[in-house]
Amino acid sequence: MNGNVVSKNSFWRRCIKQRYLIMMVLPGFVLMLVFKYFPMYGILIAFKDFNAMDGILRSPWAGLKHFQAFFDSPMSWRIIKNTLLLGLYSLIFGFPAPIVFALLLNELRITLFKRAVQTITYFPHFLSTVIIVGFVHEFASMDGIINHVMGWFGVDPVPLLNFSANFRSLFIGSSIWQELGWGAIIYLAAITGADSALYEAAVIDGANRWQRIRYVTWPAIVPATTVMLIMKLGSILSTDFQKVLLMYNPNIYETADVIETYVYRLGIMGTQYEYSSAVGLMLSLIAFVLITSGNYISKKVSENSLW
Amino acid sequence: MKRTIVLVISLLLIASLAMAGCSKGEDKPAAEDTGKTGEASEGTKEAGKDAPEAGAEPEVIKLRAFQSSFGEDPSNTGLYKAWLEKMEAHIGKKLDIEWTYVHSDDYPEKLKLQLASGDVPDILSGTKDAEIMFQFGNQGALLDIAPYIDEYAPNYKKFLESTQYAEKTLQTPEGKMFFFGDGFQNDTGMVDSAYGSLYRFDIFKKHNIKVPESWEEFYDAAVKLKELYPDVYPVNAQEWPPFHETFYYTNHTKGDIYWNGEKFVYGPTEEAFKEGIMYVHRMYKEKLLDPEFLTQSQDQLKQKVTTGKSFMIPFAWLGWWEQYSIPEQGIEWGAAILPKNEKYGEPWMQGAALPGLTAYPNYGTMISAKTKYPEIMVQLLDYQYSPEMIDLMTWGIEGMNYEVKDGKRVRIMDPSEEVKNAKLEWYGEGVTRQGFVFAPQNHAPDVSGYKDMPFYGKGQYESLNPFVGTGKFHSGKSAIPTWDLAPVIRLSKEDEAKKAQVMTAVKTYLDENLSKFILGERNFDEWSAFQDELTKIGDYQSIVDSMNELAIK
Repeated sequence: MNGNVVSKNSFWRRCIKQRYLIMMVLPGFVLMLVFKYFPMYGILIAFKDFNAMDGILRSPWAGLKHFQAFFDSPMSWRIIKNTLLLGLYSLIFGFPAPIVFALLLNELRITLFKRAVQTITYFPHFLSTVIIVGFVHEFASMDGIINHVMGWFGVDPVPLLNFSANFRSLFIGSSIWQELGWGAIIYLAAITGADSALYEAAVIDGANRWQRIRYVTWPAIVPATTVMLIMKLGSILSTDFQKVLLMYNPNIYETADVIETYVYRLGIMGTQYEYSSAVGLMLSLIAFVLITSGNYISKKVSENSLW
Repeated sequence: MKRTIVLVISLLLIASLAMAGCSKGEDKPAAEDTGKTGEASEGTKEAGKDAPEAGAEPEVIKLRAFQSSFGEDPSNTGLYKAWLEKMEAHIGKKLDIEWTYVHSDDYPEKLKLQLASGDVPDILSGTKDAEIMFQFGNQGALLDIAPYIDEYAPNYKKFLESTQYAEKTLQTPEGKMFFFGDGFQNDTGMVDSAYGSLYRFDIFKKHNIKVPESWEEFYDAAVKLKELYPDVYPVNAQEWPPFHETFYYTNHTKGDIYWNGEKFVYGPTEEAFKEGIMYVHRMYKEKLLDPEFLTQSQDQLKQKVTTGKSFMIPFAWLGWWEQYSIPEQGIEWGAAILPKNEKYGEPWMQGAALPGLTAYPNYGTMISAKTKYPEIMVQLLDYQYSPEMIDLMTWGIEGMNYEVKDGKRVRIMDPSEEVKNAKLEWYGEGVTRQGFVFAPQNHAPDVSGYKDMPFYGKGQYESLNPFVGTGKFHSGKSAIPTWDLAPVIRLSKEDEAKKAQVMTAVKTYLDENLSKFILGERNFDEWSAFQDELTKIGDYQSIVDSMNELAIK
């Protein structure tokens, strides 16, 4: 009893003591609450026959009908496959890229050059998807840079975005190009955290550059890498919808049509909101499972985890 | 410490749930309200009937208008004052209108909230999705205007009478009418459109090549141009409408379910449809068509057509000619109507302006079931459909907004300072609309907004307004696509969901395979196999059948 009172007091006292910190957290917290938590009750329509007049709460229940509808579609297998492959390839190629880049940058000794490269590479991150896709269209056109380079090797120019085989490379390639510099920032910060005494010791012990990276730098960024990897796992299924939508055309549906674009055409254009919510909810659930299990495994195998 | 944090978070979550619960609670009474208003309106209707006769003095009618807006508030303009004067004269009473403007992007959402709150303004703008209006009407929030039409809406009645399938598309099966349909007046005496084909007239004239009037001539011209300019792809296509859709209009078919004048059919099964795809494939295969036509952006296209890389665009909004032409360099783009396919007769028009008066089954205006003066509200809205009010609201005032030249009215595109100061600019288009939104549209001032352009037809080069040109070289009503005159089908919610699911899959498969056939990745020998595949992807025929069942009832 007495203990309770004391701990309660100490809790409030701590709050008052840390009021500035709490105030700093508050805007972000409220933002999440208002835009992420409050709208959550909207997922109810995934289980309902939504009627605009009755509103979300009073529309009749429909069970798992809308989930069933998704799997009944002849296109569902293909769009699941496309989504998974796009996510997987993004992970395999897109995830290590900024790490490698950060390690390379770290080896540069001319500070001015290093800064310049860093600034130039992280600039594309601030461009909107529409502009990036505009670049991709230009680069991939008949007289674009890609065809130009291919021409040196005697390849005839073709409109690259006409062929489904090119879509994934162009999509992931342009994403890497856009996010390389920005993604490297967090790793560069982690590298800075490595104790310079360790490097000196390694040099004295005769470690070459490669060994220094392997045994000093890499362990320093492993925790950051693990956290980033776990977070990335959750987004395997959520492709950059806007970018796909801007990049694809019917001729490359075969590889480019993903769950979100298909649901967009069916759910939003065809005003089947329940269906879109059902698929959205399903994707979120899978992402949740992926993150949780990723975190669990990481906790077991290494000491690093998100929580 | 960890425990306290967990405690705090869970408390906050509970709080947020409670808040969500509150909004849950708010929903209910509002809905009950609308239920009550249904009954209440019966009473007020009686009261309203006496009201207009009661006073001999010009009484003041107070009303509230809830309006969709396009960014600007028109209620302070000279045209608004002229509009109000006429309205007051028409009903013989003073009007005191409280306007609420909601941006058109947010309007449908705000409208639902307003109606659900039970506090329904007297006059409301309609919505694009007529289903919303029918729903609100059936739930008792909107006035059924059908009983008032004969006595109080002579002008709107004319629109109803000249609209095909008006009964089916503007009324419930029980004959109730919950909104005034969006009016469209075309008194130009022509059926016309702003779409057609675009050609580099200077090149055609230079080499004495005939501007195509048929698809055979189109092919011949492309071949000739390819011979003259081997590095060039003579034919190009807009991002929208795409090349193959040209054949929807010239071969009288469509890439989807459409009304063929008698019933709904699925276009891609038709021979006319296949012919169109084969034609595009042939152009592509013989390198007459730019290989990037499927993926290029409008900017890329513009660059090509202004630098002599392409000379023919089969299907485009004709207004592009001005951006594609560079007079200093002698680059002159001009228009012609779509090439004809002899087998199917006269080409149809994209976006044809229907002649006479039409009431479209969306947008328009609605009246609250709770209004005190139902007759007056109907009279006011009906008056907007009268010739004089359409004139005022779309042409404006003579000398200010338009002038008369050779007995024809011409819009003054660049208003004088005096007009600007008096806020009397032409407010009919785009930014703001006058009166109760959405009032009828008038085709003639729109036509007057286009410049004359080079136009070819019947062997002659002329300079014509694109609408006038298309109207002149088409033969009127027979150029209206059948689907523009189709009955509007309202499927049940279940069938609508089924249609979306089946047709999205079918359309996805169709679109990607059309590209494959066009680019030669699939051979036309496989066309019938492809038709079978399409049937397996989705049972489109059952959708077509259920639509026909409702249409031909």
